[in-house]
Amino acid sequence: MARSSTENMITLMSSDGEEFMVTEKVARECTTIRNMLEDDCVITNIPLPNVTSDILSMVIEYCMEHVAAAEKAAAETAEKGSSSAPAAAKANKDLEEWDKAFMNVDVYTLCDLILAANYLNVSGLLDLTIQTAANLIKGKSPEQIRKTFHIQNDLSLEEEEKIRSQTPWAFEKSE
Amino acid sequence: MKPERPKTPPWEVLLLISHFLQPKTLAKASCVCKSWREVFSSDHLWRPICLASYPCSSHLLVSGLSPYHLFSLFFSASKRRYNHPSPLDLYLNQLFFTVEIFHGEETLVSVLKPGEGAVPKDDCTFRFEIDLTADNVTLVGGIGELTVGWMVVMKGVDGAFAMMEREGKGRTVGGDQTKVWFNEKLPVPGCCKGLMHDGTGIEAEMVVEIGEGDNGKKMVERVGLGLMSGCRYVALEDGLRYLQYFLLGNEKTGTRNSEPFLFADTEQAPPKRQIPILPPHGSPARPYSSSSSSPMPLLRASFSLLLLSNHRLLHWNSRGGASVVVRNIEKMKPQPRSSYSSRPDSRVAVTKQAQQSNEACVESVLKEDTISISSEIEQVRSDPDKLQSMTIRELREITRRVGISTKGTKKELVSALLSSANVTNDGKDSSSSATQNIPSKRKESYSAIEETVEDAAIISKSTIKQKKSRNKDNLVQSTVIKATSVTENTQLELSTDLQDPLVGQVEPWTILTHKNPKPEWIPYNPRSMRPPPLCRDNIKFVKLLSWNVNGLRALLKSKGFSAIQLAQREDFDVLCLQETKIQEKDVKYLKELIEGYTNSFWTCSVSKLGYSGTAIISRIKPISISYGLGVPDHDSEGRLVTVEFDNFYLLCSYVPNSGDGLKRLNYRVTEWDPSLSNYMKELEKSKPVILTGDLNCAHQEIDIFNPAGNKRSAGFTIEERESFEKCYLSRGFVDTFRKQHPNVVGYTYWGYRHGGRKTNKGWRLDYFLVSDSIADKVYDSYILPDIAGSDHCPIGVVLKL
Repeated sequence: MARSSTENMITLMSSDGEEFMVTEKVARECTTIRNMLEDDCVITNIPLPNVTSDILSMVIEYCMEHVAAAEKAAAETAEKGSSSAPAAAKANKDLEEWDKAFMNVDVYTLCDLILAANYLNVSGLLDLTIQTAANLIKGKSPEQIRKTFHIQNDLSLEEEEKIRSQTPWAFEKSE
Repeated sequence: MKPERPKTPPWEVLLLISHFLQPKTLAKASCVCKSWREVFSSDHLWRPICLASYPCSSHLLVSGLSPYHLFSLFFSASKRRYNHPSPLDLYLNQLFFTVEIFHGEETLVSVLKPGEGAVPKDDCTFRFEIDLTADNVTLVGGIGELTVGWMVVMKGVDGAFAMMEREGKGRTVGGDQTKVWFNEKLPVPGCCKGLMHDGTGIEAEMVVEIGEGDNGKKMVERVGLGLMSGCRYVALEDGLRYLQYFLLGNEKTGTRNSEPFLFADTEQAPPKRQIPILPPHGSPARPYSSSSSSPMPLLRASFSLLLLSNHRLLHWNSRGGASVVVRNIEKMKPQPRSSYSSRPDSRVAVTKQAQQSNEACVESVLKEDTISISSEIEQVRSDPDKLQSMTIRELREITRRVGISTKGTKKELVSALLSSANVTNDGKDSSSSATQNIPSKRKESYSAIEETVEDAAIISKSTIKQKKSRNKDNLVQSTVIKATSVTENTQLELSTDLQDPLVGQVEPWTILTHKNPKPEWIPYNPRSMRPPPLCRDNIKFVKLLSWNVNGLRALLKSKGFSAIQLAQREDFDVLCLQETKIQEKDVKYLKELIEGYTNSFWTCSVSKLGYSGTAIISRIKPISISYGLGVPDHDSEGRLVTVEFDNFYLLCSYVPNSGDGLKRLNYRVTEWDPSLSNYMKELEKSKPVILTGDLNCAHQEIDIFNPAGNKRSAGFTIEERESFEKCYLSRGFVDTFRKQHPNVVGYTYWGYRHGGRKTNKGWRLDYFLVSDSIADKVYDSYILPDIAGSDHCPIGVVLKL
């Protein structure tokens, strides 16, 4: 992917002090940063005190992939005059596959990613991570949810029974 | 440098996720832990959900109500509209029907019938017939002066309900003087009395059928009873529910609707509830409410007899009524039960008596069955022109009684009737099995009956080979002859017939039911797929039986079950029981459960009383006995008995169910299975080993009706199946049934939830696994699906020695 050398590079600094150089285009995927840039608050160096380096690197990876995909699609459209529907569909599918593989992380990382995506306001990543987390919860019994998220049950049996009895319809079995 | 992980995702994350979840999931997630409860039941979250679903709630929410609570309330309320039927606690065999017919002030007929003795006209509606031909009731004078009374009385005389009280005169239809119809309005349950309009209410119906006696006199031949709502006969279950409201009190019907907290109290994954359709014999009866805890059924029987004789029955002893009453009381005698308090000698006496009364019962059932071939249809067939002359109202009446749709114009009704008559003619043999089919299709409209008849014709052709006789009467007659002959053999056969609710009809387990069957699969039919019985004189063999009885006390109390009869019929040497739910203190009463089987070994759960429990009952004296695995961790629940015989070890095991939510899955596959497997391997060093019992695992897809839907159900998880394979099959133990019948679908467990055995949507959870070294000596490994009384059926193996 050829990039013009004149493109601005921006440095993002994670909470643990690591610096990541990214193109402005990639950085703009994060709405929070885009707003900063548009408000002219910063020029090149942005500290992100809420995001650790390993999570930030993942966010950047996601943004880069999506920027690249968008550029590729734009380039194709420019070449052929109009984008061919099958090619676009394939590209979309590839990107979905990539997202899916990208979401193959443990629940802790997933939660951190949600927080980072929320803070940086990367809407695509936010939707993706939350949907993934929601899928982990859906259709499971409380016990199974606890297992998935490694949660200690701090409710007493009576308390749990009380909560259950408030919404009996949620626990009715379906065929 | 990694920051320390919080124990649960931070609340911000939960909050973000919460907007992606459905109310049901939110409610479940609220139970996970305290912090989740905070987030997932917060007002902030539920307010919009509540408002979106129920805009009217905005008026209520201002007053500071929790939207979570309000939504739950409203949601339950709208669910209620789907009319969840209340649980049925009343069974037909808990009831008596009394029928009185008066002519003027004179009592013509007064009979008492146990509910299960009244012959249901079909299997799905609340309609019964009582045969009075034997009572020789002559009718003098016009039928206009007849009045009728009908009372439903609970056994033990705990309650009674008057269905008909001599209100109103009888009517005849279309000038047909052989049938007199009586209808009386019944009260609507509870506070809704004012809501029902005329014509949509509930009515009791009685049809008095009058025939001609030998001497040309008019005789009362039969009485038909029915319960109708909106001019349709109500379903049997609904009829019982209606009675339950009055007989058991409305508190029983109203509030038990919701069972909000269905934890795995019961060991089996599905909750134990008996589907109440009554096979008149055989289905496990619920103990009478007044005496469910009484350990002395014999005393109870005499108690109820006494009460009955004190009750108004005595007043009914006018005219032929007396003999009828006596006869029926004879029938009411309890089935033989070898229970804790009965001494062996008295037990035998009772058995004999009961067998005789059973015999009488079968006889009368069959007799009445012959007559109950719908006489309307006969009539229609013989005289089609008569239909044309009838009014539309009369036609409706007839179609209703025949059981086809009453909708449409006169022309449609006539043609429906004619075609139904023809179909019945063609499928005469199968008409009985057709009615059997109806319950499963109950939801469909009655007009589907023709299709059902055709279906049934095909089924019966393929499954009932014995039905060669075209003429049903012949067939029934021959059965009656069989029933009345007195040799021991036929008596035994008789008892099987009794336990089988489908006398002479298609047995559901002989029909292949599987969601995803392979072409080579066939259903298991014990009648045709078992090798000929061995003779004890020539060949030395042992017969082992295993059965998860799902509560031995309940089984012994249930009507139609007798351990002695089972022993006589199956002639087993050893009986292995699981889930006896017996407590250690009660074992002494059960030591002599079956005469002749003097060696019995019981183990009970001590950590949870009245739970689990296994036993081996044998007429061969074993060399040694041991209980449990010898590992204290596993042995508190009475799950294993081992006995050593000359040629093998026999293990009777009730493998822990992984339970609701698969709570014990881990324990099961990482601890129990390997421990048992190691134990068996250890025993195998000295002798071959046979493991039997409820192993709580359907091994392959062929062993379960719905494999795809149960991938995460206890008993069919991949973990359990792999563990079963790894711990038993690949360590040199052979699944004898599968070896003998590689492509046969045979279930041993049918959850009550899916309609039990009737629908044959089952699982094969019970096994005989034997050491490889004796696998070739297994002569027959079989399933006995016709033996009712538990949600499992017995399985057996014949092992040549």
